[in-house]
Amino acid sequence: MSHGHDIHIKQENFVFSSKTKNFCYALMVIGAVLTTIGIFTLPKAEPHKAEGHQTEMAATEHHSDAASTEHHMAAEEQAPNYQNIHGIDTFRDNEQIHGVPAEHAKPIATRIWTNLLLNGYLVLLISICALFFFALQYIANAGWAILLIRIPQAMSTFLPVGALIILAVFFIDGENIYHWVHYEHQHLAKGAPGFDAILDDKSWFLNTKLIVGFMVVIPLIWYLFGKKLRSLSYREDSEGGLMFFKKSITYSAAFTIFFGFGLSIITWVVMMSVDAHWYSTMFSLYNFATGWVTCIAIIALFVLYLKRNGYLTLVTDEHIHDLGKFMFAFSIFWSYLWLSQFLLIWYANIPEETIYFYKRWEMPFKFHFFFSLVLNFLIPFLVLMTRDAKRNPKILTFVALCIIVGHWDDLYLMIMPGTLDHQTGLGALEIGMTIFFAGMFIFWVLTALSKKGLVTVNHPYVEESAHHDVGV
Amino acid sequence: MIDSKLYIDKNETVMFGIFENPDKFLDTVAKVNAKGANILDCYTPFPLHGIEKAMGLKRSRLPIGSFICGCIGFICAFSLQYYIMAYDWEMVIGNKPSIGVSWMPVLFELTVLFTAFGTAILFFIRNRMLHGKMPMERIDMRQTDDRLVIAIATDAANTNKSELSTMLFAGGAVEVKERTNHGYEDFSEVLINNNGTVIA
Repeated sequence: MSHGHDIHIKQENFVFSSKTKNFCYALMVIGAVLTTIGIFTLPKAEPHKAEGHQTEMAATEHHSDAASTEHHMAAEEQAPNYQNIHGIDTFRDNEQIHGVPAEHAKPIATRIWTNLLLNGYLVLLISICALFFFALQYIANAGWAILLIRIPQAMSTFLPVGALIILAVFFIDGENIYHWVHYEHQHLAKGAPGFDAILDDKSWFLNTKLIVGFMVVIPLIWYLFGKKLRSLSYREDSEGGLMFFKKSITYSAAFTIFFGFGLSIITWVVMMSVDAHWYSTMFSLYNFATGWVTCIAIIALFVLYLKRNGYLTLVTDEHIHDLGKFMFAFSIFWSYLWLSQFLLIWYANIPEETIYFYKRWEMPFKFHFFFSLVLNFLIPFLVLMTRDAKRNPKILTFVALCIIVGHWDDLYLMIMPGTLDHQTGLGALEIGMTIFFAGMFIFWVLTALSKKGLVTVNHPYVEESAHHDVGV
Repeated sequence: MIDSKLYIDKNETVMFGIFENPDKFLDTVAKVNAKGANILDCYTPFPLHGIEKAMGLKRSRLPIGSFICGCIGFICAFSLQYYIMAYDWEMVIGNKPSIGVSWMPVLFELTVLFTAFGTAILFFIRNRMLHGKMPMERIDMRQTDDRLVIAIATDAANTNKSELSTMLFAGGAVEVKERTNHGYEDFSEVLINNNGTVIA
């Protein structure tokens, strides 16, 4: 196996079996039913009540939400809200203490759109990271993954769905999800009651026109690159020759630039602007780590599924071992970024930054805060440490599922406190919609896989991949 | 820790097969190993994938050493910080707890440092490449250039040397020689026909 010099590379055609199809349909039906149940059992929105002991400042419209009550109390005891009383922008630092102002209770439908945003954003991240995985093999001149490269290639076709969903959610309910949109629509002049200096400062970037532009243009560029790279790969299958490989390198390198900058911007506009007062300089990288490790886990699951059904005969334990290493390494990478973001904010203790973790440390989110750490760091780190674990399909499946659920939870923790806050929940709606998306994603990817051959037979590195060996 | 099997100086007589072609080399090493010969080591001018399987090497225990080094690093970092920050003179900085999350960077760094250094040092010890160690006898000047060398111990009484040398030549060796206490002995090249059978 290790040094057979004459491995015959042959094309394999994946047949989307009716059993798997039924599994996908079942996922989608269960998901849809649960979502419907979830929608009809949504709790009625209560008008927002401030805590009893706190006086509402009628003049300011500056309601406090329950999570940041103490902050408000402290701030208001120490100093009156200069900026709102006098209408001048003098005490900006003091004003920033308030962080995200909770304007009013959100309509119950917002919970549906927020969940749609969560899942849409997750599949967007996964599919664009899959395209990056595909492009990375060309840029890095890497050979090991060529035998399984059709899987990320198929996953990248899901990109338009995610992009359309986040765009649709922005149009349908952007006003309630993004409080800066709500603020923008108020058109407040400087000094008017409710004027927000931070959002006003950021309005050159955080405005609907620019954001919609980004949400349309960036995924469009990605989509075109993905289409081109995929077509080059398919033409290589049928026509052969080194020309497609060389062209792919050029396109992949160009794509990487758009991927890096584009993903940063997408993470800012879609995810970080949920907490528009807050910012973190490592947020994009953190989101990339989330998407990337989830993408690797899903690739590993697809490889294991295809192996078990008799496809990908040339993919050996060595390739699966490498996927396991990727999952292990990037789980630690994610944790490293998580800790870097958390530790700096925790240690510096600057109020406008700590508000982000303050909310997540409070009760409906405290569970998710630790749960996502266990799933995304502790389990992959401890379970995948040994070589045998990375080569064991069962253990790898378990850890991959943990990573996927953990990063879903990670995104939940990013979106919910800034949007729904105490109106959030984890019920039939959340679980059902995620199951629905899982079914749709599997169905879509396997359909894409079944349309073309599973092996890039004319790729110059396919032999190298077949001989891949990570040593004893 | 020291494995005498790989220590070629300890053996009285060692046979060297010198090859040009890595593929043929790999095949022959696998055959020689399957035959049950005592392969001491292989010397290649470049990393050869699959050689450890062909040689029948057992899995390296280096990762276990790395893990232990990492644990030592973690314990060191923990006790260091515990002593400095909490035990000897409690230091409260920025009203943060003196035992807590702020220890994480040092825990991480020292664990990584100990693992990295420990692994490298263990690796050198294991391969007897520690600083100050005299270089081993050069078997062939070309072994760092374009020749691949297999060293087989022929001390055992039941070793059939002629069969072994024939096997090496049949596998594509350009030269086979044996080092004994008296010096080197060259095995003359055996003529082999297309079927791989020895003519003379």
